[in-house]
This record gives sequence, C-alpha cells and structure tokens, in this order.
Amino acid sequence: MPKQYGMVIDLQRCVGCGACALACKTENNTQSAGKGQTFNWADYIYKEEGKFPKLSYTAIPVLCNHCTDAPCVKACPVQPKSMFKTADGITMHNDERCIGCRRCQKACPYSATDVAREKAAYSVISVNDGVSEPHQMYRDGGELIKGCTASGAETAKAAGDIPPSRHDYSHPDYASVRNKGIAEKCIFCEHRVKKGELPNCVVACPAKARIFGDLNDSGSEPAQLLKKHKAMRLKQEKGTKPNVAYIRAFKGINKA
Amino acid sequence: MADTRQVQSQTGGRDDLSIDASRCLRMRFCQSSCRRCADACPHGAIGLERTLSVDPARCTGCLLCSAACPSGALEQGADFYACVTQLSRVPDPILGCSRTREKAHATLACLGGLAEEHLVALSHTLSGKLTLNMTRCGDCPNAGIVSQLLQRLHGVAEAGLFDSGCRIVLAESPGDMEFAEESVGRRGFFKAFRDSIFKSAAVVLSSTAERVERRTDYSTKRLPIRRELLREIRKSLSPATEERIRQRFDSTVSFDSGCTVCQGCVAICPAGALQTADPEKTPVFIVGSCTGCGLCGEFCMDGALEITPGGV
Repeated sequence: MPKQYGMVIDLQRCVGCGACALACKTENNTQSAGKGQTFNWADYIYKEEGKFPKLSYTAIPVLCNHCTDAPCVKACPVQPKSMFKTADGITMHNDERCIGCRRCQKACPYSATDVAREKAAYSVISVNDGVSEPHQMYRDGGELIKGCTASGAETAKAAGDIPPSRHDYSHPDYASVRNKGIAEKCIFCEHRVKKGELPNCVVACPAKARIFGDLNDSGSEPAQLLKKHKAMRLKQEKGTKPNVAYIRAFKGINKA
Repeated sequence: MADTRQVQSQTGGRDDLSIDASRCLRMRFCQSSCRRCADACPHGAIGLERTLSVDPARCTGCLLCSAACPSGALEQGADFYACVTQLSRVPDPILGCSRTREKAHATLACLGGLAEEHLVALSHTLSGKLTLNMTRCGDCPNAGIVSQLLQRLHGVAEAGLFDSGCRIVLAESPGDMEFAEESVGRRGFFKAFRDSIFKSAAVVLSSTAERVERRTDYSTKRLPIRRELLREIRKSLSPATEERIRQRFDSTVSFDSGCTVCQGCVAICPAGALQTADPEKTPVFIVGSCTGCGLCGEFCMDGALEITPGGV
C-alpha cells in the first residue's frame, strides 16, 4: 500500500503555545502576514465559547490538511499541475509552474483569498502578490525605531540574506524562499521527511501534541492513535478527506 | 537531442525552433482550446497532451507553428536583430534560407517562420526592396510555406502596412531577383559601412534594452520576440501607419460588471498585458503588451472579460 503521510494532533496535550507556528516560520522562511495573507503554514486559532462562568477556551493548531481528495489540486489550471499529490500523499506545490491565479486558495475549504475581507480565522494557502518582492520588511531601508534601531534592509545586509535568518534548504519543487506572484503552503517539511526527519512543527512541539507518520501503516504511531481514539477532522462535510486528524478534543471543537 | 540532429541532417536545415512549454496557453490553462500550432503544422508533429511537444521524427523545421503561436511558446531561435543588421547593409537585400546555397544577404532556418509582425518590422527597417529568395522552396519538404507567405504578404499589403516602408517581394524563380554584392566601389562601400554602423548601433541599443532572458518559470511574463520587434518599430512610425498597425495587430480587453476582481486574468496572461494596480479594482489593461491570444477570456470564472480586435 502506498504511504499516506498525515498528522494526528492531540488536543489535550496542546497548550496553545504557538511553538509549531514559530518553528514552521523559521524552517520555511515564511514572511510576515500582510495584504490579506497569513503566510502561516502552521497556524493556530483560539476559540472562546459560552458565557461566564460557563466558558470554554480551545486552542486548535491548523495546517494544510493534505486532503486525499484535494480540491486545490483539482482547481489548479496549469499542466502539469503546479499543485499535485505526491506518491506519499503529500499535497505538494511546484513553484516554477505556479502562475499565482489563486484558484487553489479559492477551492480550499481551509483557505481565504483575503483573511481580513472574508473574516477568516486562518488560511493554509497564502499567495505572494505579483507586485512586490517577498519579505518587504527586510527590503525596507527605514529604521524600525527612528534613531534607535537598524533598518530591516541593514539587518538583512549584515546577515547576507533575506530573511536574515534564512534557512536554506533544497527541494526539487520548492525554493526555500518563494518568489513573488506565486502561492505557497505547508509541504509537510518534505525536505526533512525525505531525510528521515520529522516536520519541524512536530519536533518543536514541547507537549508532543503533534504526531506525524504514515497513516496507511497500521503500526505507525498516528495510525495507532486513530485506532484508539475517536478522531475529528476539520470541515469533514466538504468531503475532501483531510489527513490531519484531531483527537481527545475538548467540548466545542466540533464547530471549528 | 540525438534524434533532433538526425532530422537536421535529413532536411539540410538546422533546428531553429525553441520550445517553452510554460508559455503555451494549454499548459497555463488545461481547459484552453488553443491549437493554433497544431492546426498550422502540415506534418502533425505537435503534441498538446500533457505537455507541449514537437515530434523530431515528423518535424521538418518549417517554423509555421512559431508564426502561429501567439504567446512565444514556440519561437524561432534565430537572432532576428542580427539578421536585420546584415540586411540593412545593402540597398536591395535578399533574405534566403540556410538550407540552400542560393544567393542571399542573410538567412533564416526557414522563411515559414516569418509572421506578419516580422514582415512589417522588416519593411520599416530596410530601404529599397526586400526579396525573399524562395527559388528552391519547390524542392523542399517545406514547400507549403510559399502559399502561406504569399497570403501573409498579401494580408499586410492589403492593410496598407507596406505603404510607408520598403517593398517585400517573393522570388520563386531566379529571374525574379538581382543579387548585388555587399561592397560595390569605394564610395558605396564606405557609405554602406557608415550606415551599417549607425543602424547596427541603433539595433543593438534597442535590442539590449528590450531583450528578456528566457525562463521556464510559469510566472514570467514577456512578449513573443516578433511582438517585441513590432513594438520597437512602431515608435518611429507615422500616426497613419501606427493607426493601421493598431487595427491589424492590437486587441482590447474590457471588463463588465460581473468581474469579481479576483485578478486571475493577471496571473494567466503570459505577456503581462493585465496588471494589478489596486487589488480591489479590475486589472489595468496594457494594450502594448497584449498579443490578443484570448487566454484571459477563456480563463475568467465570471465570464466578465471581452476581447475585441483593434486597440483603443
């Protein structure tokens, strides 16, 4: 049976610290949010429900669900597809073939073309606009605090790269920093997984709430957990067969 | 690659077709109905399934596909600027084909690649009379290009686009043309030399400014080379000729109220004729960068785009 990489997130372990999101940003050099795009391949949302004193507070980490029936792949107009499924079940994105038309973003139930306008809590696909180079913050010559700090551009120059903390990795489909005018999303850190390592968000999670592995291998840890616990998947009614599952949910998560 | 070379030796020509699948309308949008190149190819050598491909066993290098492709996915590899420079050294130049040893002041791999834009550019860059040496085309597997070229010449002449430039004639038999050696006499030689320096300098200046590196990146926007030539030549033409060129080559893209400002057309356009000025508004149309391929109209989810021939 071919592999199907997936992730199980244990919500009773998750403390909502956001380390996954930070780890992802440093690993994949994603830029700061702006122009309706989050650029958070790993993100998290907080939900507060009820009325005092009957309150519930839930932290839900979100990321690309690497759906088995991925609508983003169906929507991608180019040939060969820029958004495609790998043999290991990862929803991969090739940045040379992407034209930045945003059809993937429109088709994805977990994404918004503009999070502010659509009042979306998150978006797993982000699009670099076609006008300005990414990481504007490190191209801006203006001092962050006047007469006090260096400018972003100076910092980048001193470090010799944009962003200054750039983690340079090589991947056949992905540049470690994406160009302007194309989409980008979580690729399950395939560059790490290929080397036998885990995605960086999994490594960084201090509570070990993220469990990554081959869901088709019944002996794998995530497959075992899915057998043991009743799992919840985001927007299951859309029929996209997401491969990120949440277990041990507190009350209230079902509406996420 | 080995196959390609084999075909070259068979036909005596050289493989001058450059393929960039990322610019193909079908590769950019899998539902596009464009098959201009496949329809133009007399030998059924072009494949459009999965990727844009040319079957080296069938291709005879006539370059008709390159003249039909609106986006520069299939293009002549020859340096057209260098070719023009060579032709401009003589008063009544002859353009021939590199497969034959017939007399010519410059050659291209096959004259079938001369599109209307090329003809207009040649006509307005050269002086006197340009003869297309096609005396040996009858013996060549690419003989079909003669009628095509006649049609194109006729079309351009009908549109009045040769009126202000040099005449272009097609020579099918040796009697139709006179070949003059490049250097004739001291005075003529120096005059031609001086002219050629000015002209080549002008050509080099304009070409280095506009030349775009070819990349296979789908998000790279550029005009096909022949459109680039046309754009260059237009700058120096009279308003009347410019108006005729506008009528024949330009298109206008307009948006109706159904547009949801998704900017998808900006992304799909291979030439960069649609640009986002404000993400909340309909894209800005740049007429000089539009090749009229119609891909934006096919791609628009809202059906809000209309493409009409003739510029505004």
